[in-house]
Amino acid sequence: MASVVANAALKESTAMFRATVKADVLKHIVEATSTLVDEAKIHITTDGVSLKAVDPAHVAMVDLSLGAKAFESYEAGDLELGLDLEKFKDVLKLAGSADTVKMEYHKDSHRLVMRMGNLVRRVGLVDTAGMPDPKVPNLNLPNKVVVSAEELHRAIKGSESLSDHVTVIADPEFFEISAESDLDALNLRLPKEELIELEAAERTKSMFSLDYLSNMIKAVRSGGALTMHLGSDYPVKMEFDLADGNGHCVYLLAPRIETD
Amino acid sequence: MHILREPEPEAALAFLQSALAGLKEHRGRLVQVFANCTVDYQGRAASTLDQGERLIMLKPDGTLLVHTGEKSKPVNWMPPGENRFSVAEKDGRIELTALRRKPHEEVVRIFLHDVRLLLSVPMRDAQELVLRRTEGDLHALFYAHPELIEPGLVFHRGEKDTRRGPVDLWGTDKEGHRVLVEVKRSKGGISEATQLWRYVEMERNGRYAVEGDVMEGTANVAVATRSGKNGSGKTGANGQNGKTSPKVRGILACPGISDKAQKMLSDHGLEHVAIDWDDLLQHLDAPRAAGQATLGRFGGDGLKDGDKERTVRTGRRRKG
Repeated sequence: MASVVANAALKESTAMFRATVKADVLKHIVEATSTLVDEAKIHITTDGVSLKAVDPAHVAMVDLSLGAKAFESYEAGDLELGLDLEKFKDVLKLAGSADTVKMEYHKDSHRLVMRMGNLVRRVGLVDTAGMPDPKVPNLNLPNKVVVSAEELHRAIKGSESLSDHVTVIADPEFFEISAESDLDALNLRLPKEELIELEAAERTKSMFSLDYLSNMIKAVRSGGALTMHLGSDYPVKMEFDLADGNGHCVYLLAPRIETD
Repeated sequence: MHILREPEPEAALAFLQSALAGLKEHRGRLVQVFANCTVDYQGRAASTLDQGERLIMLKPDGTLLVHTGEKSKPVNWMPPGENRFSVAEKDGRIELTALRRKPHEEVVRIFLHDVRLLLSVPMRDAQELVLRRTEGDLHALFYAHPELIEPGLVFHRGEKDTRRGPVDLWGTDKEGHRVLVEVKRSKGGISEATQLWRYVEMERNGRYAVEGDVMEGTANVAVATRSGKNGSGKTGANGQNGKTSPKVRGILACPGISDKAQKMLSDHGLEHVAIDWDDLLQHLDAPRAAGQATLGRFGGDGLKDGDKERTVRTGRRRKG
């Protein structure tokens, strides 16, 4: 009993969070997460913040981390905060991309107090009790492709008018995204030399829903690169860096599978 | 989760005050009250419900429901939205009030005489009801498998607007005749027969060049059975006036048909194809060609493989 009390006391004393960060970094995180979920549980430690969330249909998952270095100042103990992402998005609209945001957790009111210039916004937090801790599957994905965000944006944009899904092929010689409707077809084939990196021992092919894929790829900023790990009729694992390399985002997306 | 059984009035009041505060601040809590109560409603209409035992439910989205021990529908309710809930003590009783301002001011007042049970619990549910066996599903099935209506029939892409509204399916039969099909998921009556006739009449009077390309059905199944006086289905119709073309056929595809509707179809040279739900269901409930898998299938969080009931369905998105 005594140790329980001691642990609780320890937790109390370290349950703090005070940080300053560029608004753009927060905007990017919220953008990357809110495509899948409305609420998220943020894990805060002395090293940085992270979150894992699975979408309500259990089709996609995001695993995002932001190191303490991504912040201009960072002081924190172990803490879990429940964020309403839609609300947080609106709050961040109050700040320009180049502005800095000061955040502080107020335990007594259970709010996150955000200061943008002289503006103070107190953000009520969501109860994290019912929020799951998603289990990240251990995937064996044979192929790896690193491709520029611009090429992908174009292929995805073009595919959206044709179909609700795309076929993604990784071959030892090339990487291809294609979509077709009854009449029309689109494909983007990038030979090995036009890719940043291609490691494919065998040809793999999977189909993915554009509803998901499109928003995930939009989360990679222009000028950035996306690493895709692929298999056949298997989930895709996509990774990219945030906050000048001080943060990292991993998406998993389950495939669509032909049953005929 | 907070539960109070047979609480004293003071405890019940405190519980409800805190639960309602929680309802306001954090979304996602369900509050239930089982109590002997009276219910008054003032709004577009007015109602009173004298003392009795009821189940009162406040849903996370702001919905209020008051259920008696009978029937599936609540006796009093407020739809979801910005309803204001408050609780106070009045003349020694607890008064629970729900106020709705728009589009009209409406108030539900519940006087709790004897509270038996109080429950407040976080409620999370991101799933939406997936409706199967809809008329839209039937259209898609017949489009992909026209032979379910008639062997040799080919449906054309897209909606055919007859200028009196869009007909469900349109195509060409073996003989090259234009066929308009109206699909209903329940028994066809005079209004469905009239609807089909309006389309066919317009089409018979108008031009009927075949536009668009042709998509062949593939599977080799025939579950629809033909009924009615136009048994062969290939004679077409003799129009009621000189202008009509015998080459436009109209088919009402529905499980059964009323005598009046059948007569109307026959009078206008239209046909009825009886659809057999039991046979169609196996097609409708079959998994989609490209089903969306969940991460659970690959050992991640979520739904397990083979959990077909809950497999996420991604219907074809309609474009244009």
